[in-house]
Amino acid sequence: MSTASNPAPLAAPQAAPQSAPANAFRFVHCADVHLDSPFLCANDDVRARLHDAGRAAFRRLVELCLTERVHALLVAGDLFSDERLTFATEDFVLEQFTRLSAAGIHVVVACGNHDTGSSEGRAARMAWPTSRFTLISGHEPQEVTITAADGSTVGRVIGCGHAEANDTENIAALFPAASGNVPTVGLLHARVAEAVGMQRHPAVAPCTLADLAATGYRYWALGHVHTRQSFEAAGPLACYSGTLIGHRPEETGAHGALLVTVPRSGAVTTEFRALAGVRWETLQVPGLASIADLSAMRASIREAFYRSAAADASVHADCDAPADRGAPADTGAHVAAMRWMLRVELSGSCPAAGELQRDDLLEELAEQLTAELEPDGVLSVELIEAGVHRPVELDSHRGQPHVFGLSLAVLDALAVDDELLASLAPATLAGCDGTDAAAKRAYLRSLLTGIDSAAGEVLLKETLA
Amino acid sequence: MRLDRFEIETFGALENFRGENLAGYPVLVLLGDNEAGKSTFLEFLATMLYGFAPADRAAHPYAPWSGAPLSGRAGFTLADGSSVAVTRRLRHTPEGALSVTGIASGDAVAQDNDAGNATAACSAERSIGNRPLDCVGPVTRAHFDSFHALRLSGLAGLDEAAWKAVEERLLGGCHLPALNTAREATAGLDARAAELWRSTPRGNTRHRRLSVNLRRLQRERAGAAVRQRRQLLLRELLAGKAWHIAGTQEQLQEMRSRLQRAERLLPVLRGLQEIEVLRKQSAQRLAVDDLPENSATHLTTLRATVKEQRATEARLDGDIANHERRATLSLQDTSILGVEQEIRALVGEAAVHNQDLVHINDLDRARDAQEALFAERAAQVFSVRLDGSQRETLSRLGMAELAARVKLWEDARRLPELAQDEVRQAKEAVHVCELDFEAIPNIDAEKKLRAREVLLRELQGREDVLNALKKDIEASKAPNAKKDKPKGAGRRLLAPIGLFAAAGALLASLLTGGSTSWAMLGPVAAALVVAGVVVLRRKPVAVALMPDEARAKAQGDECTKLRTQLGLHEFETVESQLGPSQQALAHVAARPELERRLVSARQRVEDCVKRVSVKIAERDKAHASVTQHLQVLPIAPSRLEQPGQDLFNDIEELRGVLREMTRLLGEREAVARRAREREARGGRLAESLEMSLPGNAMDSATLWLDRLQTALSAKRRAEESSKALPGLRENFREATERRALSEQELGLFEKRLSQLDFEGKSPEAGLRWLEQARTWLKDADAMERALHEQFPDWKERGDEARTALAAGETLDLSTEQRVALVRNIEQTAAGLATLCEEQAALQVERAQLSAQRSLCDVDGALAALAEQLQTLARRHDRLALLAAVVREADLRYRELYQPPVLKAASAHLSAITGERWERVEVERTAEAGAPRLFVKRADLSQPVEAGQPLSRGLREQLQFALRLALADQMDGAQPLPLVLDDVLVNWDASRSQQGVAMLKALGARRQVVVLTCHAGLAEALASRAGAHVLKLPAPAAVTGNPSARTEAKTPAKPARKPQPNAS
Repeated sequence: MSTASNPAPLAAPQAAPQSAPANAFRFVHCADVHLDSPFLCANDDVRARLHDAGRAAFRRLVELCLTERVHALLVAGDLFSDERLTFATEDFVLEQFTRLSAAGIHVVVACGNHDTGSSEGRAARMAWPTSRFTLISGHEPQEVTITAADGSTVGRVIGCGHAEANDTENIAALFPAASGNVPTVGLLHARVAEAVGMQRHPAVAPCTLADLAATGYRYWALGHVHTRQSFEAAGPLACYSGTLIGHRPEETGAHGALLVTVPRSGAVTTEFRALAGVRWETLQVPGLASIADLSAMRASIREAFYRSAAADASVHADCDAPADRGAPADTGAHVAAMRWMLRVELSGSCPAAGELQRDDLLEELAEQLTAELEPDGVLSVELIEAGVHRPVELDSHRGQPHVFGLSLAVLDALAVDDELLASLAPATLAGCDGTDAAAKRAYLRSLLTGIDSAAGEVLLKETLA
Repeated sequence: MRLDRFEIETFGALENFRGENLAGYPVLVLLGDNEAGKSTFLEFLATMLYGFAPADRAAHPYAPWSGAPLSGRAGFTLADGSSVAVTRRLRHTPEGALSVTGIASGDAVAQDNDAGNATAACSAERSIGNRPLDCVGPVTRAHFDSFHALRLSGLAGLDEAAWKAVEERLLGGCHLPALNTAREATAGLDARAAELWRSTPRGNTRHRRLSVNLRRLQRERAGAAVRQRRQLLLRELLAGKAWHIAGTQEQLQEMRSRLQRAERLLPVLRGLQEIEVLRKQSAQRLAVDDLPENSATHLTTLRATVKEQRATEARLDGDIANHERRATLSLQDTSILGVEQEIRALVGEAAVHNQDLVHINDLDRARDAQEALFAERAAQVFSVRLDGSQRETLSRLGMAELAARVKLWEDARRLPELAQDEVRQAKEAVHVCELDFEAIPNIDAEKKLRAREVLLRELQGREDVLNALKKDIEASKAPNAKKDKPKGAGRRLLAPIGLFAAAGALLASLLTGGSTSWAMLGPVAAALVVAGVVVLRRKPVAVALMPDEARAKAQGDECTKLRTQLGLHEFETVESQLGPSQQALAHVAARPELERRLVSARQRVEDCVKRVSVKIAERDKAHASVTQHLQVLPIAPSRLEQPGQDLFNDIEELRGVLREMTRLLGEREAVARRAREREARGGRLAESLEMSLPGNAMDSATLWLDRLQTALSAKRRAEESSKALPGLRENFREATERRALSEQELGLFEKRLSQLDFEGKSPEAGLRWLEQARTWLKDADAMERALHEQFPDWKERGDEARTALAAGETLDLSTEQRVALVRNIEQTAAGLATLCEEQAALQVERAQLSAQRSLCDVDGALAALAEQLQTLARRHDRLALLAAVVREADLRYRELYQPPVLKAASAHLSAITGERWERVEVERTAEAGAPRLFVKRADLSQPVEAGQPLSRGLREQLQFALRLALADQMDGAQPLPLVLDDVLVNWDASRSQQGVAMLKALGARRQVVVLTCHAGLAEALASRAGAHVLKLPAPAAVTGNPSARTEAKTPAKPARKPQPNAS
């Protein structure tokens, strides 16, 4: 668990409660499954494997519910991507939910902005299970009573869905206040203002933690922000479970769902269960400044990957992760079966900069690394040249009466001088249309990172640099 | 800062080399031969100021090969009077020590002191490692190498490209060797950016290649979206189909159940009902069956008998009438039989008539062929198609006369050509004569030839005498020398005889005029006369007294004299010279004969020309004769041009064709006349019989014969009928009686049958009712048996059906109802099958669509590609921005530093050149980043670009001035020494003096160290600039040991890599 300001680290999950309170409301919270959403990958074969991995993660989610014998599965929106959902996936989802329904586990799905509950949406036309399944598609808060196997009520879920993709209303304010002694859980797909990384997502049902706290619910199962995090400051525990599996290189780290236990009284406990069989990682190459050639670079990247994989294994050492396709959970097998999507960002000083700046050599190196690390579960290695340059001593040239010294001075001035920036801006930019002056300035300044070293690289002769 | 003292322990080739108290001299000169170590000293001085570069002894180019460390020390006097002593050593790692002496009030000393508070006079030594002295200020080692340590190689030997590079380095803002020029940098950045992206559609940029993929993926995405929508529609369609199929299956099941119950009970019920009805109907019609079993056959037999008897009666009546009619002949048959003989004759001639008609057709075709042949051949001869009169004219043309005229023309037409050949031959003969005539030499040449021939003859005679003398001398030397006397007497005896003979020959030659063979004897005779006179005039005593050798010598001299006069060499014989001369003179002798031949040839040419005209007239006359004879016919003009035998033959052939055509026409007329006569005869016969025939009479010959045969047959039949009539009339009476009895029996039986027909009282209907009643009974029995066999439980089913009917159930489906129900079932089943097929097709389509690339997958590829494009765009923009920054920095540099630099450089250049070149300018051309350096001469209005064709010396002086100016610009508080390594060697005497003066002036501001191998320059600097001269030790001598020689020759050359600032 983490504070509201920091994303939850991939800490070792707590062990499953050996003996949860008998009347505790236990459920699995997931969100942003995004079935049939595109995986950002250029390789067709790898993308197909990622697609399969997405389904496998969802299957593990169902297995987790069955294994843990929870009362409910709460899906906080964006179960799938509305326009891209294939019928095979639809059948697959219905099959999995039917399994849960048959097992007596209630499934509550709130519609998100990607799987809206409008009458034209796919969710409204799917043949959902007829028992123990609730689709919350509209704005009106809908209450679902969760019962145990013996028929006793263990909790209440109050949720709202989205009928439209661009829903900018604060629907958190529409939720009724909690009542009674049965634990009440809110289910909402919204952007909480205090969430980390919320700026990367559209302002769907924007709200604040205060809005959530005002309801008096014991737990808020949130969706929409893909970064897993929780908020607990002076209010109910509210969590973003994050995506079930990463879809983009930025969505690094472990992904999965939260196993939540809400007792009638006492603290709410959550456990993160990693369910994704594919990890996206962005590696930083250590000692880049001392790497002299591509073979050394290859070795360093391998080393960086093994370190990252070892750290991941240690994180999951005690994790009781569900196995694929209903097999008994086995953490070691899960880790061993982990697949990796690696992105290596190369920036900074490096003696092999000349080779790393060549796209063909970089692609060749990426292919070699992919082939070498494939036995270790690596599906793809992508090398990004993000401003790598050969070693350049900048300080000794600053203030010097030569062009390089003056170039450094101009670059320093560009950081603060809008007029100079506008005068030196290229007439046409490939990455910015330039209609918005402020956006153009911001874009240009984003290009200045490390550009002083690049200037040294082009102005200083290599042999004497 | 001035170098005051130094001590080189080991540094390259220099060992234990030192100098002291140097700071007071404005100029310090190091004089040494090549390889003495001047450049080594420069490197030593830079090392003292900046430390070892490289800092690795193994890699240092000036590391002594003896293995000793690089080591030395130097003392500098600063501007404030204080001294700095530095000691540096490079063994394995660079070591350095610094001591400061004197009043250290300057910044330099303060900076050199680690504590930073050394303001008092002191002498403290501290380690500085390999760091530069702080007193060098902002001048880095690169600056020092560029502006303070000037080598000739840095100023001279620049080609155009190198010159421009120097300009850019000095004036373009990138003046340091360590820096690339701004133009190179921006060009490289622009090129890299252009490889990534361009705003214009030019070039195959990486962005464009990726954009192509992006567009392809976008198109693919559109297809995937269509498939996705189609899948949505398919889902709806499949759901509809499933609902439809379920309803249809239910409906089909209900109809099949109803039909099945009806089919089980209804046959039994209907069978029972039909049996009952049949038996009731039979009893109503036939209460008692007393009629024959085969009543129908009986009735039929009776009726057939009556009918047969009536037919026999009618046939007999008809036969009687027929025979009575056939016994009489018709009028037409009678008429035909009357002309039987004429008809038979006409039929006999029909075959001949047909043959004549065929023959007429053959004649017509043959005539047409001849006509076509005539037209073809006539087109080759005549200019127009011949009409009848012209053909008649052709037939009557006199061919014998034509043949004679053609023969005459054939004979005359080649005569002009033969005459022309004779003209050519005559002209060729004239030409040959003219050539021979031209070969005759003129009078002067003839005289020369004759004079030369006389000399040649004389020479020939003298050489013969000389040869004889030589033989005599040889003979006299022999033992029988006495025989010489008779020979000499004989020779004297023969001389008068030869003299007279020669005189005779000469006389004969003159008398014949030189035109005959005597002319050839003329020169010979003259020579003999001369020789004879000479012989006779010799006195015997003198001859006897003159030795043969002296005579031979005199003859030899004469021969030599003559050969010289004739221009003959010793190897040329007289005979070889006489031949051409005699030949030319022979031409002269033949001149009259040649003149006669030429006149005769020309006369013959004129005769031949006249004969040609005559022959042409004869030919034209013959041609006109032929043309006149043929003018009655339209002969083609081309054929009349050469009216030869071929024309005659063609006309003769055409006349033959005309004759053949006339013959064919006559024969055809004869045959046609015979045919017309036969046809007229047949026409008259038909007219007499008043018959109308389809064609002419001869074509209807067979019809005549058929009519005749018919008439003969009718005659025979009339005779036969007359004989048969009495018998036929008796048979007719008996048949009438038998028919009456049979009709009575038939009437009684038909009345009985009519009683069974209640309505119409018809015997046939009664018979049908009898059969029907009997059939009803049989059918009822058969149905009962069949019902039992088909449904053993028919009685139970019958009871069940009656019970159901009593209950109001509709079992009794009519046939229409049943058919409609069955058809409905079949239609419903077919509809169901169609629905299932459609469902399967939709499922197949859905499976196919699902198997194709999904929208999610395409979107993933699109997103990845879009990210690549974005990354690429950022890289481009970053490069473009960096290029703009470098350009801006370059511009700023020029604005900051160029004006004072150029001003100072102008002053230096003016001083060096004695104010001949007064100003240095920089002008930016239209091409950004490519400034050009100009120098202005005092007497010119426009500056000149500092490149070719300016002299090398001037360019070096310009660069020297520029570097001095840049050094002034770069210096900090302590002006560093200026080291000049033989930079004045290309300067002329005048400018060298100016340079020495300038160095003297410069030495007042900063110390100048001149490295030179020229003693004169050293002396000039010493005498005129107050320089102190240090002599470098001479290089080691070459020894026999190769290794020692190499070490001695190049002790200080870079062994492993070039000097850092060698350029």
